Amino acid sequence: MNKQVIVKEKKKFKLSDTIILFIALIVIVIFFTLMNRAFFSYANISTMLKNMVITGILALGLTPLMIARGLDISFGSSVSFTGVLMAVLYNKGWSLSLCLVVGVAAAVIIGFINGLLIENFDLIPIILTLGTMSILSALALVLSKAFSVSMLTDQLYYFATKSFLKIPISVFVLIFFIILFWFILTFTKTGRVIYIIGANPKVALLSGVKVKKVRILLYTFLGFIAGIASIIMVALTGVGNPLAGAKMALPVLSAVVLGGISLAGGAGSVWGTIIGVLIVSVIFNGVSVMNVESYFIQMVQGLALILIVSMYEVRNKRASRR
Amino acid sequence: MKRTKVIFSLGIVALIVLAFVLLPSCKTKSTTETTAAETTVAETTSAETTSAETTGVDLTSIPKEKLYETFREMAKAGKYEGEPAKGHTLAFANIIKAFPFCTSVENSIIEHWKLAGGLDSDLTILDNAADPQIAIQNKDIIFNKKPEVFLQFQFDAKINDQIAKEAKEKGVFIIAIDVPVGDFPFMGVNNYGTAVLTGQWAIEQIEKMGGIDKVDLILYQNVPQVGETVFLRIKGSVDEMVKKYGDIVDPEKTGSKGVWAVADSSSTEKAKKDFQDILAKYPQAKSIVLFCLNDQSAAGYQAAADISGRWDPDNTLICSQGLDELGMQLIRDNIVDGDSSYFPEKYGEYLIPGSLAYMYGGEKAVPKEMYVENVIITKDNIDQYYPQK
Repeated sequence: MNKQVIVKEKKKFKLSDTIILFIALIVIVIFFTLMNRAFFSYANISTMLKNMVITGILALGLTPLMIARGLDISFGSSVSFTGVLMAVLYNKGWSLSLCLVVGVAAAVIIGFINGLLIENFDLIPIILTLGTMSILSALALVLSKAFSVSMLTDQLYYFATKSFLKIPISVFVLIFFIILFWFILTFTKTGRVIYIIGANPKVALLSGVKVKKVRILLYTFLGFIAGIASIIMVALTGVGNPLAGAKMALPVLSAVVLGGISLAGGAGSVWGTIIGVLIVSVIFNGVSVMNVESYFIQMVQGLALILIVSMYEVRNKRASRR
Repeated sequence: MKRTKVIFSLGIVALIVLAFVLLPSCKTKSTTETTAAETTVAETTSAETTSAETTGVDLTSIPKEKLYETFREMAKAGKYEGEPAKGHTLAFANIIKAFPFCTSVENSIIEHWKLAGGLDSDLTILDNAADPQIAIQNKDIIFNKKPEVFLQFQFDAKINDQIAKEAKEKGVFIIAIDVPVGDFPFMGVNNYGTAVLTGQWAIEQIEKMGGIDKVDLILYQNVPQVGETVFLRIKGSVDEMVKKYGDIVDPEKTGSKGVWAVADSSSTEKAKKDFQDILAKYPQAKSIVLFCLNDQSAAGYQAAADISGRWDPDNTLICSQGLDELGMQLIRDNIVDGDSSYFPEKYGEYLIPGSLAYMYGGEKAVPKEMYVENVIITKDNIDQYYPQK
């Protein structure tokens, strides 16, 4: 009887990874607010939210793929390439909407090809997408003749700089994708299938799940997300820059890993990813607002990554011992 | 579980303690904690009133068009009368802090801001880290702080166009450094002009070597990251060379001795790697002329040539841009032959007077262009400009 009570009490106090991560986020926010009151101002929070949109939606796109034991590191180059493609077409006189549609379609095709090659030829995702990354970067440079291409339009400028209900418009895109991914992963059969594949692909296959098709779909969907990220990038910068996505992989992957998604797949959540993105963004913004040099921003981000991932490992080992 | 919680808690505490210990010490020299933007913004009108009271110099009696020159004289003398920067706010986004050139620019701004009586807390300094996305984020952070003047140092003029548009809407005044920001005032090097100067100097050296027939290969560095404006630092030289020697040195013509060298200029290591590949494409070339974007690229080329067993200083002419401390060493070591100096250590002498002119006289008080004078620094004249310590 007593033992049962103790077990119940223990269960009661067990904190999920997401809650712990959220507490870590709150601690970091409090820390930066104490260090500089400007950090917690509306204007700064609004800026921070706006600047986490691209990292956020890419991390969301990567979440189901990594849960299903897939991996794609070429999304940054896809953003660069499609951004340049849209800008080049726009300068050739194409209509804005057609440019955007073609850009997103190109990114979708890239994602589909990634998925098709990885799944049909059993290639290691990191190697294949490393190759794709290299090809796309080169294509972006060739297409742009190695210079950024102007795409300063009133519509995109409005999208990048204006707010609705005091919230930057681009943030609504992120909110939309958060709800979409949360809904898919939590309430749909597809979501359950993704977790089953991640937990054990062989068992999933034997259970009649079309593992390859689902994964190809997830790579394709990440391509779509990269296309949307590319539009936002072009809107924010006013150019299609061949190097715009060159440094995206690290913050996005850091955010996803921080959010509790393991490379081994099968675990993770949309909320964990979003908190991971928030931590990466809060650290960048908080340290920047404090006038600290960018090297130290990377250092603090790295420290947070090591610390939180170590915590996951310790917890997992403890859990597996039980 | 308990142990995990303890480890996690200790980790968070360690992170915070480490941040507390590290962050204050790693702030840029002049900057301490930044106060809320709203409290530091000084209206131009109130600033003008303050100026008369605090500076001891009656700035209101100086015509607007003379304000810049007045502050320039103070800057050159190293003494700003009456602390004109006190109570004003300034922000600076550096292009890539890791470069000695950019560090010199930053130090010069800090030095003159302090000389002018500016407070650490009124100066915001960020690093664009040669990354468009970071530059955009920094722009937003700076716009939130609403400084009176924003000194923008960023590679891509086209991205700057969007920044300029937003700055105008938000009422932030920008002074562009080296790369234009819309139609805001520009301070820095005349990018095409310095390349023309370098091209003319290179032609003199080529003639001394026995003429263009003695040259096997001409490498014109061209790298996407720098954007079209900075690329003018090579374009001017190309144009001068083509004007003098014709198609034989034109990188756009097939069969020419002149070729585009797509080599990363962001670090010596990256430049070395790219130049190794480029040199491998021209195994027969012995007498080589290189026009490069910066001293990191020059050092990278030398390392690449050395590793390939092809470093021959007597048959190599390296013409570099934006002399920095690395470049000075390369000149003294007989690696770089000529380096166009932009005198980054003097940028503050233009930027702070330009900023002050705006603070006291508004937009019309700031000249549209504030060019630095370029000089080709060689082994023969380096001690005249930069005496060896």
